[in-house]
Amino acid sequence: MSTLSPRQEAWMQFKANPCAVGGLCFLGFMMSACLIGPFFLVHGYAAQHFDAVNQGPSMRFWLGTDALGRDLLVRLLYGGRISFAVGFAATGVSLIVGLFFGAFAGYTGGKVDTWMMRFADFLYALPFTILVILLTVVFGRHFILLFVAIGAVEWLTMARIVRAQVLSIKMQEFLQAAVLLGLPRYQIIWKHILPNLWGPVIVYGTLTVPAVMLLEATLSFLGLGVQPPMSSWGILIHDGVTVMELCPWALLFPTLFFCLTLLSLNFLGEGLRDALDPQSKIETHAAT
Amino acid sequence: MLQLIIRRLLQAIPVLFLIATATFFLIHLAPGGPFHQERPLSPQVLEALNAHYGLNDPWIVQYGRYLNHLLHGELGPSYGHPGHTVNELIAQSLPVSIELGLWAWVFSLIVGIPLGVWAAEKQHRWFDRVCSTVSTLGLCLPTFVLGPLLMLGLAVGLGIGNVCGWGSWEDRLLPVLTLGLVHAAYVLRLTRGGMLEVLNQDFIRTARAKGLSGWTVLFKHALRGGLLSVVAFAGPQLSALVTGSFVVETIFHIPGLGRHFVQAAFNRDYTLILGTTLLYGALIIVMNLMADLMQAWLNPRLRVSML
Repeated sequence: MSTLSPRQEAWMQFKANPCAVGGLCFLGFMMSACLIGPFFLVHGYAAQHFDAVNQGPSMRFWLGTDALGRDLLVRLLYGGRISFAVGFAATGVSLIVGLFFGAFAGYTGGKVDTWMMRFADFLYALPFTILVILLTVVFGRHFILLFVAIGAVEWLTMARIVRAQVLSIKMQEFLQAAVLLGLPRYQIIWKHILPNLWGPVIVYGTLTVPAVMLLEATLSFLGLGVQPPMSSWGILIHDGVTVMELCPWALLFPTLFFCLTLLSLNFLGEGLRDALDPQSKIETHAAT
Repeated sequence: MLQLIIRRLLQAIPVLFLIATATFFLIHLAPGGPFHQERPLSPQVLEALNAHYGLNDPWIVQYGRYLNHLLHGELGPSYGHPGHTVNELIAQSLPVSIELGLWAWVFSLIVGIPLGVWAAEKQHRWFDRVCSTVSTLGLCLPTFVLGPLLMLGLAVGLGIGNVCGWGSWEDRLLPVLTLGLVHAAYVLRLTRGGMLEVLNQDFIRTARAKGLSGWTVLFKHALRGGLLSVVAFAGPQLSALVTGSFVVETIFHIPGLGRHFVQAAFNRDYTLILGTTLLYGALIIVMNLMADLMQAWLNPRLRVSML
């Protein structure tokens, strides 16, 4: 019997989880559809067809049209681009900030660590969703600043997880051996600490993406996020609500796209957690 | 214990000060002002309004004046609701938000705990599977999706409950359901997980071997240990429910704190934004403190680490 590397072992475990694999496949399908789909569709996302307002699904408009006669499918795919872009970019921001903050605090230790974590605790006490709403009011129509704002408040938990991990690695014998061997500091951090951080970082990152997408959709739903005529899943759900008695599909399809994506991201995150980081129990965010 | 309370309340002061400062400068940075409308006011009227509310002064002067008023417990006049002070608006809307949050909280516990216990008892049977699947789906259903779906299904389809307002119990049904269902799913999962851990332990086997009835074992012996994680979750959850209801309040047109906050953000109603944000901050601090106290009361081991 051949022995498996940790990576192969994790992959084996991940493959055995049907929910996680299904989530990964659905996400791949959805993301590629959002990326390349609009190039193959004849309608533009802002093009209005006044002869077909509030239509149900048909050969011409596969998922129907909205109250202004715009093709729902194209708007859904463009909205998906925004949602995914915000999700990944904001998660990226929070990962980078959290990783550096947490790793620095954990590795330096002592007084610096105490004060840095006290600062993070201080920020934890702030009402976050409220803060993001205020930030979007200020930065308003700039789409890029939206995810910077979300990312800037999502990094706290990341920093905590990374710090805890660094602290536990610091205690272990292989690291003490590395220090005793007189390895330079950057090499210790780069070669010995970072590889051990990827597990929790990837897992928590995957679970942050749906939380961020939810936040973006909530903001857009309230009218504070992405602005028309650009579409986003939050806006489409909001538009669907206004016409739901007349044409329920306008609410149903965006809801379906959005919820299935969130569900697969959560499944993927939980599958990765079981495979990469079995001991930790990172709770997913509560929905707003 | 008293020491803990006093220390936490003292810590709250810099937090609230930071919130007030950050919010003040953030909203003054935002483009537009409280009296910018789609049909512009005449310059004389605008000038008179700005002069009346002291909006022509430098920011730092306005900031000092605001802090001074704040120390006296006054949150200032609302710009978006002429003739009303922010104190009045909050006094009207806060009870509504608290009531909504409390009902949703009670609902989520009443529904989540029994279902979770029963699902754990029937592990791997169809009831457990249905509960687990539904609660997983429920976790991915944001309130702004669930609310309209409930409106469409219950109110429009079956004629149960009203789609907006906050008067009779029929008005309250749908918002409470919308806010409570997602959290009920969380409670269910936590209860099930906690109960499964306890049910596999030796003392449960002993209790069963003694011939105690299934109900006694479940509710008298297992529930106490199985609910620890639910209790840990329930405290912060209440604060999340009371302060996180602005989407539900917007959907169902409920005159609560959250709706005021969202509208104030749109209208650049500076004083109302500041007042609601500060109140949210204070609510979160107080409720988290209460949650910690409750945990310490239930779990003596935690008391040492907190002090």
